[in-house]
Amino acid sequence: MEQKKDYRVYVNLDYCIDCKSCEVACANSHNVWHNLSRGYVEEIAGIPQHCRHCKDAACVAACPQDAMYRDENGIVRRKSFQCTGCMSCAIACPFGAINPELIRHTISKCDLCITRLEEGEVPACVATCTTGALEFRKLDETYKEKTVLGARSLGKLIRR
Amino acid sequence: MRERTKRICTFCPMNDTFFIRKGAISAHFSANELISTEYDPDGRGLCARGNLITELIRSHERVRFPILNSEEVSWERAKKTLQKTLSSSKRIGIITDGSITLEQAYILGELAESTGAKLSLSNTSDWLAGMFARTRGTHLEDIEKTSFLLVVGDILSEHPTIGRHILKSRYGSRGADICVVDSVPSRTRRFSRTGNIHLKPGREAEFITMLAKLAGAEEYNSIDISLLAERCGVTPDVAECVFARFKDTEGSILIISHTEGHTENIPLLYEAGYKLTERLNKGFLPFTTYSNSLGVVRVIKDLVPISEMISSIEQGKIDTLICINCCAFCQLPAATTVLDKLASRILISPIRPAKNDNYNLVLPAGFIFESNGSYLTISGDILPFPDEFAPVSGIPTLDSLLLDISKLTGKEISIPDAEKIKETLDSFKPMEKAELSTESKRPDTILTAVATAFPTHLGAGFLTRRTAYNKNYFPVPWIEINEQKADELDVKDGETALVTSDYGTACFTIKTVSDMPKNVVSLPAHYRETAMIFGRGLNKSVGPVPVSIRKE
Repeated sequence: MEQKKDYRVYVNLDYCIDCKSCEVACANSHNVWHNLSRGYVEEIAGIPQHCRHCKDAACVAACPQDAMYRDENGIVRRKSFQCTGCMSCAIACPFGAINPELIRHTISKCDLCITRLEEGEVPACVATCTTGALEFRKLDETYKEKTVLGARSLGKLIRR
Repeated sequence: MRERTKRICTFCPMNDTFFIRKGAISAHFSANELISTEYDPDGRGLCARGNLITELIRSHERVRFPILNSEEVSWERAKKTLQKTLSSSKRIGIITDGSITLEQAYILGELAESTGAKLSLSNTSDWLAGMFARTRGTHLEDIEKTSFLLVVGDILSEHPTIGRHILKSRYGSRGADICVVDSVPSRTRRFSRTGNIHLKPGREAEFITMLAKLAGAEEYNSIDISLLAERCGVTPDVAECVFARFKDTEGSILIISHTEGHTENIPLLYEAGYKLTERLNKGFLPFTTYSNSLGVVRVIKDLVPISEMISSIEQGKIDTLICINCCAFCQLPAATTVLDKLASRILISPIRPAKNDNYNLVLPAGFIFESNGSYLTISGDILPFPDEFAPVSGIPTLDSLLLDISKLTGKEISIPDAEKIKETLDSFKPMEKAELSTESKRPDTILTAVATAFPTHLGAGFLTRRTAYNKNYFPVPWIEINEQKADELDVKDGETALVTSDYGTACFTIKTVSDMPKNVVSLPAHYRETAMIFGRGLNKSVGPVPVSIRKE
């Protein structure tokens, strides 16, 4: 588990075809209810809205019951017995990554499939992604890659 | 204790054959019961529908004992009733779907022959026989090696696995160009540089016929494609440009996804695609999601069309109907009117029938992947199912159940060996070629409904749609309509509207879309309501139908 610290689910939008496999895999591993939602861009593309597990998480600050907390691995989690389903976290979340859970009248929240991480596996959504749009990788690697990609695209503009 | 073993996708094995070679899928078992499935991160690929098999296997709706008139009974009593029914019936009709193995299809064919029963493949698949049997499809992995893909329909919505290969070719070293041809806004166009070539509804077959004519230009003295182009709703320049690119690019592939109802005539579309690719010696990938349909139509010798089955029931020639697995037969408007004339209905299925389906006897059987059989891939190979997957809690496999039924009828059938299966497959004769006709009587100016589904691979299939996840996901059928047209008709997003065609009326929720052509609306496939609008049966060569919409 320590090895997976600071790992997050990263979405490569170029590869997402909106097949919903990640949602179903999430639902399967979380008792029918899925913890990730999708945002739609002009009916063309559906984008998985995962919890980013923000460093300064708005949902943790907004929760009146202290049900949202950050664990030792940096994952923002929910205490199921303290959650009353008031939806404060869902309103506070800037990414729309928290949904109401209609079965238990609480909220559904991505926990990065913590039990799977403990077994040395990746989250269910990443494992099942059909096109490889979802990746489970370290934040630093993503930053570096993004910086390189940004520099390349800037370079192309300068050359023109 | 969890253990891992290699598996393939169970719903569409003919499209996922490469997984066996790579061994990418793994399944978790506990005491011989599947508890979850997934892919290794390197392999990728279990689609939403494939994921839902765990829900189906563990479903509380799974049939574990025979059900006689809504009551669970013992196997002995069920068999006695079955024997009595079979012996007293005038003639039996059997309808199966595509999710049976080659061996099961062979036994079924023999059983039908010995009892004189009429045997039909579900309405979703009976036309596949002629079209698919003629040629072998291009292998999926060849998609990555090409530089130009001509896609008819919305393939990314239909199957993510093919989508993965298209994306590999798009973003790979070749940077393939994707040309999408569709009458409604296709989600595949997102990955196309040329966007979506909009045709008039139901004219995809004519467009491909036009390209096929251009491909055969050397055989003719002169070809005027302006009339055909006008019918399709494009200029001749567009057709010639697409054709030139398709012809000149090395190894280009034509992919046809048959979203039901998109085309005037699906066999015609496949025939035109076959002719085009044959003339240019290019790749052709006719796509279907229906399990082992390709193998089943080849193995069963005397399949009758579904329309013949319906007319036989209507005329009283068939009084006992045996349904193997749940297909969409009883959702056909034409079928619903004749089902009452049956003396008895028997269902052999892993999942309980819907509440409003009145079956006299329901017999439990395992899923296709719970049998030790083989199936035919789209490349023409015969591959076996791995044998480590036992049926849940002693439920018999379909093979053993069919053999038991054959004993009850007095004729013993044995399970065929691999050689017998191969011999049967080789002796198959495809149907006669469809004529390349371009005549169409469809009006263009009125509001026209075409059927589509999003995503098709998730919404398709009666069993898949009955999973808990999908029940939440697809609560009501919807109708996609252009925003401006919705304003003209005075209907708003989210409202309920009555949609009426010559065949019937049904309620749909309005969903406004900005880039839908103004005279076209789109209904979700595999819905009972959509079938009511399309009348003739959704999955069988359905063209667009004129409809009117008004607020409820």
